[in-house]
Amino acid sequence: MTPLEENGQASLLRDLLKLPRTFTFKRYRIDLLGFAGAWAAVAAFILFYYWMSKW
Amino acid sequence: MKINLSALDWLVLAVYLGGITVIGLIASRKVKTSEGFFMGNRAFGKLVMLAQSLGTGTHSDQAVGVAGAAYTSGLSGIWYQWIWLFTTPFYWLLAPIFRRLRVVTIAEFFELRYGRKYSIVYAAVCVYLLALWQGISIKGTAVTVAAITGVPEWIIAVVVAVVFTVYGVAGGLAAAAVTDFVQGLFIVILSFLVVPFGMAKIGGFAGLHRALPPQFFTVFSAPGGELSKFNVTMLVLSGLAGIVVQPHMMAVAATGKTEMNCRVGWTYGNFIKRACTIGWTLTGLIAVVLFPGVPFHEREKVFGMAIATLLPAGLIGLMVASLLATVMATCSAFMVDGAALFTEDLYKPLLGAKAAEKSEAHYMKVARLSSLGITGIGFVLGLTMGSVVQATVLFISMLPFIGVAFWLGIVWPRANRFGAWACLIGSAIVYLGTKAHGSTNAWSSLFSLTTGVLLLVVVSVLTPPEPAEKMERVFGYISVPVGEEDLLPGTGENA
Repeated sequence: MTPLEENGQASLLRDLLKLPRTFTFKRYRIDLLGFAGAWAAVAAFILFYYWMSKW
Repeated sequence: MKINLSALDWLVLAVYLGGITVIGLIASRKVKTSEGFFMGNRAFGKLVMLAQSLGTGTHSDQAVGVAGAAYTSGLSGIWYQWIWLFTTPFYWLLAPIFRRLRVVTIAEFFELRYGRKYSIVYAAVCVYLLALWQGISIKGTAVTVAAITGVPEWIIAVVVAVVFTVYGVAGGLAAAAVTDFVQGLFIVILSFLVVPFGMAKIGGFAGLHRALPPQFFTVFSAPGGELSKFNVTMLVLSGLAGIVVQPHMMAVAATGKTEMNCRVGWTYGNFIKRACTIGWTLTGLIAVVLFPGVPFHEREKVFGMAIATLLPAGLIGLMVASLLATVMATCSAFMVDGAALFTEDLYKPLLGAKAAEKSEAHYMKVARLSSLGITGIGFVLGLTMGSVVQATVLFISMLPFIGVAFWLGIVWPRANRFGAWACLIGSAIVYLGTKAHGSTNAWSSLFSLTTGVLLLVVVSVLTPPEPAEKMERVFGYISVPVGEEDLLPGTGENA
């Protein structure tokens, strides 16, 4: 792992098959936080869609 | 021929078309190399990346298709585009992979990963698809704009093609991306401008619910319907498999200056599009109330009918400009992406050892001529295409066969060219075979994707691995974030 990867920029996809050995939150911080944020956006869209259907 | 545009509408259109051409030509002055032409020197900031993602990925035929689907299926018509909603978070994870590969095209990745033959087949198919996609976009927009304005379709198609070709051929991706900045704004206008006028006329959401039966407000259509849960799920899965090999994705995902620019641009540019889809769906629902009885095969006309009926003078011109913006943003990017595939992955291999002897100016000339050629082919193809929605579903159904090889190619070093070919051929046979036996798109996608994954894994395990030096080029590069280029395998490589 490079210094930037050790500090949050490691790739979950590239390491997918070896995650049980390599996983720490610090290493995959940007992937994890951004992925979670994007799913939160998806949830917001779905909630708005439900609300629209009942409006 | 009756033209339904006021002087104010014409003025808005003239300012838009003239302005976008000038902006594109100004942006083109910085383009000196083929890397600059194809990839904008990988120097785009977050806002340009957002606009590029929105502009390249949004075309008026999608708005027209979703509004038409909502007209017949109700609110669930949104899934024609929202199948991509669940794939969008993955762009956050994929963007740094694309950026770190440090290649110009996805075909270049395939050459490194699975060899030249696989790369050439992919590049040839994608050049054809990019031409076809341009044709579909131009035709779809010309039909809609002609219905609104009364101007003949062929005149609209020619004007659109000439304008984006002028700035696209001159400035490549830089011109396309900078104009996308303006076009993106027009796309948002396009998506929502009709809604307040329509809602005011039908009495808002309360009026909409009073006028339409409850099935128009279900989240999915009935089981077995075109937008049932199973069909939507399979479209999502095949969409996720196929999105990574859509030929324009390398430019959309990997032209940012930093990895964060790429992540934010690709992911949130697409979220803006998902928001725009809500406007298209509402336009379709409003149309059900205002124009009942439009036959199923003419449902894609309701978007244009809403514009022509609901908007006052001046705003019709703005809406037509917005429609043109969607097609020009998409086609200029597709034109450059097609030229990149042709120049880098078909023309250079054809030259063989002589490729290194040719000058940068020579490749710029090839890039510009191939841009023109691909758009010309697309223009002719566009005149012969059928329903835009059917074409979209077909497009999504075919790409995942190659997408499986991409996904396994980045997560599993043992995947090899034999497995990739077995996956491609096996999936295609299963897909076409099940379709021939009457299976729906959804079931055919399920069978072919499962077959593809199994074949790739089994055949790869049973055959020799790819050369170690090629694997080092792929996985070694993916492991080095942008900004740490001094750590790349081999010294002196450019990022």
